[in-house]
Amino acid sequence: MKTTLAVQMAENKVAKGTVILKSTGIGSCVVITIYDPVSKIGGMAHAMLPTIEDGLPELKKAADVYKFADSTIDNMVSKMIATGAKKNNFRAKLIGGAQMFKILIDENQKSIGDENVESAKKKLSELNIPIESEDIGGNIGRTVEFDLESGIISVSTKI
Amino acid sequence: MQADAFKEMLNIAAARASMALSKLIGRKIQVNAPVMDLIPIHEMPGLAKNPEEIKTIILVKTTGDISACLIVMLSPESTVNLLKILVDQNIEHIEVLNDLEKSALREIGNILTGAAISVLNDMMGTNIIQSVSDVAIDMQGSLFNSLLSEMGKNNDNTLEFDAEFSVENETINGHIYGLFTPESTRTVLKLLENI
Repeated sequence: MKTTLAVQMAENKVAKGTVILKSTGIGSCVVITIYDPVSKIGGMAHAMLPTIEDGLPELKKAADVYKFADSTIDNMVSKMIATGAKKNNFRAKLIGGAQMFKILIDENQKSIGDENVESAKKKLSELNIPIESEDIGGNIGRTVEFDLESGIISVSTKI
Repeated sequence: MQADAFKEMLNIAAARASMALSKLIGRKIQVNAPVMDLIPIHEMPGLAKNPEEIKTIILVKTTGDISACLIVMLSPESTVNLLKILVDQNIEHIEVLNDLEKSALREIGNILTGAAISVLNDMMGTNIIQSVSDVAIDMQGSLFNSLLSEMGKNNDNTLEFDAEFSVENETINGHIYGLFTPESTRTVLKLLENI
């Protein structure tokens, strides 16, 4: 029997074995999955904003770590290593970063979705974690499921 | 007391907005008194329950004295029924709306929010400017989480008002939501002191 664990916005979860990690209704948020296929330890982070550097100092509290793509990756990687995963085995996938509404940004501005993806990529490259595949951008909502036993990621859309 | 005064203003704004829509579609419209609340962002409509449910969201952003997102949210069924009245066409499927149908929906956003904003500007002496409207149909979780990321980068709570409306003798109902940035929440509270 597989257990499904929901990963909400501004959360990350690390688990192992017969678990499915699931994030629903991803828009401009970016979901980062990292997997160690040897130990079958995997993590899923659902970040809503690009970088913790943008957070106001007064708001840099513990819960904020999970909101930002860069800080949640750091946090998740440490948790995975603490659980027994080997960093050399890590591989990442990226999902989300859509632009659901056009009027929220000016014409020449980058969408928050693009910024989220960019920040996640930058952090992963700093940590030398290869990105295996990505399903990002566009203007469509996504739901993602990550089966930790097989390492398979399924992305579904509704429209 | 201040909260009551603001609620009353929202009441009038919601009534004016529904009157405008009523004129446009030639049907009577019922609108409930708006509910106003300071809510944690995780409990925002569309995020808390059934994030995968498909909804139509018509979005208008306001700038000027108060920056907020005004949202008209409809179910797929209500969207189709409303379009039947507006463009007099049988819509087969919400997934394949054409430009005319989408622009009819955007017009609903313009009219509803335009009426509401002019009430607020008159009563509070503010200068709130509305953007053009945008429409998106997708999982409500995806739509709301995008709004959230763009709106309030550092807030845990958002001031929300919610007015529910329905069209008489038709299966059309929906919500009008207003979501305020933290700065605007403070502005609103300050404005209320001067009333």
